[in-house]
Amino acid sequence: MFLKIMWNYPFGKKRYFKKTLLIMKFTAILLFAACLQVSATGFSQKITLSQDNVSLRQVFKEIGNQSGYQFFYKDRLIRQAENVSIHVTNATIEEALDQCLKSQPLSYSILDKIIVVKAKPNLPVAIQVSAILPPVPLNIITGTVKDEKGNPLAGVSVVLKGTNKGTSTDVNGRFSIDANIGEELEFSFVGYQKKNVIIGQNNNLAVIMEIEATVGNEVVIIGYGTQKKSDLTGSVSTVNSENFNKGVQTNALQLLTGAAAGVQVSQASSAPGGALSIKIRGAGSINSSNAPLIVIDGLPGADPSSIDPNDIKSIDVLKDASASAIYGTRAANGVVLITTKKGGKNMPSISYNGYFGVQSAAKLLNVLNATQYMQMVDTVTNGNNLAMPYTASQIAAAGTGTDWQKEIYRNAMVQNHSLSFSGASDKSNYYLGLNYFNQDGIVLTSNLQKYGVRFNFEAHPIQRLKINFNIEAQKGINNSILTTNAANESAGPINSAIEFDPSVKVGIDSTTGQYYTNPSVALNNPLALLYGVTTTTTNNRSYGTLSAEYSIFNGLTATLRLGDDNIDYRTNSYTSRLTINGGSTNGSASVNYGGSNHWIAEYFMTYNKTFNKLHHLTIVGGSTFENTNTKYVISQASGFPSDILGVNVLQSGLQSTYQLNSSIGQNRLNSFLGRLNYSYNDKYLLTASARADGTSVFSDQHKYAVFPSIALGWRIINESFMNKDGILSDLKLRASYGTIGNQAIPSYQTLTTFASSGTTVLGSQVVTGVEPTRIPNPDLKWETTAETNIGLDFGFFNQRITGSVEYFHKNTYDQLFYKPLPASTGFANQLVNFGSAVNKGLDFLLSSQNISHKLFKWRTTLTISTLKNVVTQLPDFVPTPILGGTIGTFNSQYTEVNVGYPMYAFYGYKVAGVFQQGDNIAASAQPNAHPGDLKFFDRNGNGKIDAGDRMMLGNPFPKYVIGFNNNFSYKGFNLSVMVNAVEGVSTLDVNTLESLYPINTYRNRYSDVWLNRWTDQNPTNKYPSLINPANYGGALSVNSLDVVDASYIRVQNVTLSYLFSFKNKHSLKTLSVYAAGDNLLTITKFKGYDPDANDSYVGNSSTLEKANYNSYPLGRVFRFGVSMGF
Amino acid sequence: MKQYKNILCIFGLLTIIIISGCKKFLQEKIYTQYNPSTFTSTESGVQLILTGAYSEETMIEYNMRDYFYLMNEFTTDEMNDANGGLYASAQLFMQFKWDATNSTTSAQYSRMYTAIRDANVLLDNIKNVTTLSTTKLAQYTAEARFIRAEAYTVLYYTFGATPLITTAQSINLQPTRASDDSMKQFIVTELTAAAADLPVTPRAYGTASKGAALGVLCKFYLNTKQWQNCSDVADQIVNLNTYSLFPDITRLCAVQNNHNSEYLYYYPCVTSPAGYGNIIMAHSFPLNYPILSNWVNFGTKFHILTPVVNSFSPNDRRLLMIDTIYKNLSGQTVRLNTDAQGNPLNMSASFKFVPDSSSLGVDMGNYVPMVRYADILLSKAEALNNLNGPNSTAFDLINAVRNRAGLPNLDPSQYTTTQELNDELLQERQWEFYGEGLRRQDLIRMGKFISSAQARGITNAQDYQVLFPIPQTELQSNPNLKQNPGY
Repeated sequence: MFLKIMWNYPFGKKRYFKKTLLIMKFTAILLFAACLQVSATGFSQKITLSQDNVSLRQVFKEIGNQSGYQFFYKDRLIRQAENVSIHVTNATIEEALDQCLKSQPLSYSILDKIIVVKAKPNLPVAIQVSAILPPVPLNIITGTVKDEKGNPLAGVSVVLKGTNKGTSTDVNGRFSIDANIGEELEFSFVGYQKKNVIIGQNNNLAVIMEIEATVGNEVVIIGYGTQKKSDLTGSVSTVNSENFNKGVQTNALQLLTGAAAGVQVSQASSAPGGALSIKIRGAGSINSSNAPLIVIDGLPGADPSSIDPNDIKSIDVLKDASASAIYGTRAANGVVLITTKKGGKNMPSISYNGYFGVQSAAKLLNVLNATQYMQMVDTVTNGNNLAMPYTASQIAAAGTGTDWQKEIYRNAMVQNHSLSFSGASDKSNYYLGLNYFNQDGIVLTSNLQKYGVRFNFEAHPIQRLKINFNIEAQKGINNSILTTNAANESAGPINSAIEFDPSVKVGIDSTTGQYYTNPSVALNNPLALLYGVTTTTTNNRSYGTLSAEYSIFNGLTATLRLGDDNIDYRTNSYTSRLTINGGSTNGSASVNYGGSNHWIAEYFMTYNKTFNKLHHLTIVGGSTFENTNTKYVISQASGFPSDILGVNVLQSGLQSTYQLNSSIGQNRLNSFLGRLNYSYNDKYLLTASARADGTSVFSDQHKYAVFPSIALGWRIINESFMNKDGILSDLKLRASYGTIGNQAIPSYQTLTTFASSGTTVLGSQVVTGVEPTRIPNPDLKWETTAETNIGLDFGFFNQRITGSVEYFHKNTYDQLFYKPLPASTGFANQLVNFGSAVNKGLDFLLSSQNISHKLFKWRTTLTISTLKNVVTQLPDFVPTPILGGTIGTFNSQYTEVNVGYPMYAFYGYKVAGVFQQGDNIAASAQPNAHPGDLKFFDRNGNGKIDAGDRMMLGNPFPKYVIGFNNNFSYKGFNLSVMVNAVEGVSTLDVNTLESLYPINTYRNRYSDVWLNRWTDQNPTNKYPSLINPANYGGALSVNSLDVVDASYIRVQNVTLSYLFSFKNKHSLKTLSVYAAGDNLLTITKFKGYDPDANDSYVGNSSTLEKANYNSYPLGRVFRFGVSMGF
Repeated sequence: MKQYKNILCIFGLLTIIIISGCKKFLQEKIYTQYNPSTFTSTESGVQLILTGAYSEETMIEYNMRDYFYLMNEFTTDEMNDANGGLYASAQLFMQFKWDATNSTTSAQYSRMYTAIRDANVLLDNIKNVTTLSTTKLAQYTAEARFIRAEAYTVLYYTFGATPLITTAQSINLQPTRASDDSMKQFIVTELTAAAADLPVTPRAYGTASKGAALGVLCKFYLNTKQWQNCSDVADQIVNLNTYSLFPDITRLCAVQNNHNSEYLYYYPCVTSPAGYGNIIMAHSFPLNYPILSNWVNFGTKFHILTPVVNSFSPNDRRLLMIDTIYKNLSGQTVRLNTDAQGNPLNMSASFKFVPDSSSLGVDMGNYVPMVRYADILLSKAEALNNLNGPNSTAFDLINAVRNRAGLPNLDPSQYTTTQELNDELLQERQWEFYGEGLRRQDLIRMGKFISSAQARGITNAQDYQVLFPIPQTELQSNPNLKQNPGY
């Protein structure tokens, strides 16, 4: 039936197309015809018709053709109707319909250009009686509905109170309805307060609707359901699109920066598409993943970088155990729920958002120029009694030389275009989003391009059934520079740009065909690395969910959800003869192809019932099945006849250099989940939930584990003793406790197996044997986090000021540890459960409408999170502190895990100063030191500097994370300023370390370290003489000079926009233009490119260790954008 | 309500279907590893397990660098390391500052026990293999016993007597250290038994042969000062009539001569970007050295110390393998041994592993000699000297090695006591074996390891440092294990 009516719809009318915007054509081409319910504002409103004894169906068709209105009716109903005769000229739709239906048992209603024909209701006797009375002449009431800003509101429902009569506003906010003086019209629209207007003498109404600001009607997504915000008992941060962190975003999680208390988002790398780290309330796991679970439209494990931020409606972060326990074993680090947009209840609309921007390095590092560099090399070689390589005249002629940073960085373009189409009828709605993103990196040759399409469709084909279909397909092409922490000839271009000889000139040496170089530096020319090492990753990802929700009876619904997520990627890397490594291997290439498939099937039922208007109950129960398969194949070859073909013809390389690797894996999860929400009289709230998770990676006796949680809430504001006329407008106390798990366990740990392993050379060729893999531990179980959360929500002055303060205490126990086995067993370790760590802190959120004048408005949001992370128990079978961390090729063991300290705290020697001339060095703890050498703190007081003197030098977890966002609006202007601050965090600055302890003398370094070094004339206590760093280096090189404060305050984004208002006739509904600046200012003591960056992320996306080393420079971005709505 | 009931029934049924069959759903499937029984029943399986064992026992690429150079050269008066990132680890050995947390020595300990584990897995299961002839069964058994025994000799030289693990079937999590005697006895028994069953010609380059087992045994007798046994085994080796001195010492370790008559046991290497080569030259090329485009010159530098270079007779052909002066890429002449005034620079470079012109990258194809015939000759000479004092057989053996290097015979009248000839042997061994990782063991045997370090000015070198410490992690995971005294 549904489709049949669709085909009755007159597509072919030329008039329609003439009068409609060109862009609407695209809609028609792009959308499925089945979902297309475009209105026909361009049709004639007058009907001329003269027919005798024809079927009702035929009349409807004719009226439809003339007016562009659509008919909805049940076939059965119309078949039963008698044939009609109709004669009208220039009549209104209503007149025509009234005439043809007057003798039929049918009534109609017109909503939004749709005519619904129904059986006439059996009228109550009283009305039947009144119906006999002569009818009161009806008035046609027209009017416009606008919002507070004066923008027309489309799709507002207008109902004549006490009747079935109703209509809705059109795209210009206009409506017309028949009503009598004294009757009441009710206007309602999602997100706005209901408004009632009694009809007076004025036939043309101007209605202003106000945004709903009442407490708690906001709906929050909580996983397997939604909840009114006022009913929440757990800790959930909701960030709606208007509060998103604006900027050049390639990952949905970047939208949360500074916007949600307790959520720390760090950009580990500023490269296009670079790694991102998100920590929700610190990190609980010492050895496993600390990444939260990402759920996009019900699909867990989705990739937040594979969605256009413009398609996102809201992001909800489940922070405490009560909120997240419904996700069981993957919830230990919190859950991020991303909800995408749906078609609104309004007319079909098209919107376009786009920006162009220019990025430049926010900061360049100060390194020595050519003259200073040559003097430095001569000073050091002379200090070591070696011949000085540069003569005085060479130095005099050198000048400033080449600034290699300027050679490899550029002003880079970024652009983003998002186009969306959405619309709805009363039975379905759709949203189609198209996205193109193109970002050149600040470093030459790097670039990221993304193409995405999203389609969200929701339909109610029959009354009790709702079908939801969301699908996203995205292609990403990333050309990346060599990013590595390796040293020397394997180092990357940024390392080389910092440390390469500035006296070398730019360009290619015509005699060798290579970039000019200084072989003594043992680094490639930075440009050789940019043009000689190419890496291109092509990513194809598609994922989506299909769900059916059936209402079995009022209050009970059953939901079946199927989800699928497919990734395929191919990475081509080629190292050409322009580089040392490429030259020595005659070009080396690798092609890495892989992917994964994840599917989920979930089935759950929800029961929702209110008893006696006091008891409100919601129960959810269900089960899920998940399966993840991963695969990859890596093929490598080198020794190519030429660099020209790159990775295209691997077989042209030398056969003896071929290397192949492949792998395949599977992980399965089966879970049962349940949740009960109960509230009494809107005052007392209870949430209890549990999830039983079973996984394939555990042995049979530990396959399943149950994660329960309970939470209580008390809406004090609703108590009778509260004075509601007072200042306070909301007050709620809530407390929760629960346990959640961490599933990150590698496969096969509970099994005895042999693996292909042990590769060596026998019989002149490389061969691989087999070896036993492990001593299995069948007792292995989930790492578990128990979390207590106590929160207070408050609101003042009729919710002009709202906020919450929450205390949390998370204890993560049964930590997964690789227990070292005696090496004499032939095995290194065994995975066991032991140890615990605690995260505790406060999350504070304050949001205030400071000024709410008609013309000028000022809104402030402040989030503050504090965190204390401490290891509380460690196994006795590992040496403590557990030392770890590797950054660069040669710097290791810079972190400690120890009871009483934060996880992965910086660990090393404390510098007490510099030995001066005349100091009694022989009597010191470093009797072999020379004046100018670093003096270390003899912590254990044993009279020598040894491993026992190492101590905690800093904390990798910030004490405070602060987001301070302000929004000002004046008429059409809007200014938003987002400021973030991170306080009390340290980092290991390896670039400082290498300035103090260069890999060799010929490395360039931070100029302040060299220029302010200790000399006889400059008896500083800060920097050593740098002549023979080996005297105070080696294991001593991780010390308080290079573990530095990484706190910062950053003006993250400033956006100034102007919203144009239009007169009604425009098909362009909204137009807003804006100028924005990202990363405008960073205040920090940190010397490197970006204190927020983390380069220990290279190759390990979940590490907790923090270090900065040749970070990809942070970009300062100026953007100009436009957003349009049609 | 009736229709609701029907629908409820359908959903109920659906629930039951979904819930059932979970156990099967969660069964862990093995995709990338094997069931052990796949390999413990066939000849190819046996060979694969042996390959795994060899891979742990053989020391090539970075393992070779760490064991032969960091632990066995830089702790001596022969070589040192300077510059580069490796220096931080190397200087701990140069300055006798290693401790029980040292990752280089700990890795060595683990690797050897992994080799022992793999050999034990084979020895535990090979009895069950029914498809093999007795000869083959004996040969594979002998290979596994050789690998295990050789791993124990490395452990013994490095850490002293350690736990003796001889099976992988019952895992002992808290073994105690074997007594010195039982450890020595075990090594001797195993190598002797392996030698009996091993073929003279190995199954493949790099696998154990009769000569390999006897060579390792001969060296073990020498290092544990069992002089008569050492001499006897040396005779057995000579009597195999398989081995001889390679005529040109300067080309012995060139890749073209990998398969020579002098290597009794060696670790094969290949030029390969996969990392199974000899990487010493990348560490040895002097700064800014005119290398071929397919070679790599690391920042860190392995040096032969000036006193070593100066001790050579100018006619010694072995001096030709040491670079003391070169013209760098910028055309400047750079001195490595002494400056223009004759002051020591200690920067000479060993080119013993003749750079492999066909190498691609760091890894060169030069095999790593573990026991060579010259060592057997000098070992026998040392054994005879310690048994009988200077004697003509000993001089003949020494002279054979000297003559090959272009040096004249020793004058017997210069060496009247055992001590005098031992001192000469230590010197002869340095000239012959520099850069081959033998110096530490030679110094220890001669009782000069610590004293020579102290003489170089390393004041914190102590007597107990003739052994490296048992790794800290090992002590922590096994309370029955006692640390070496002094640590």
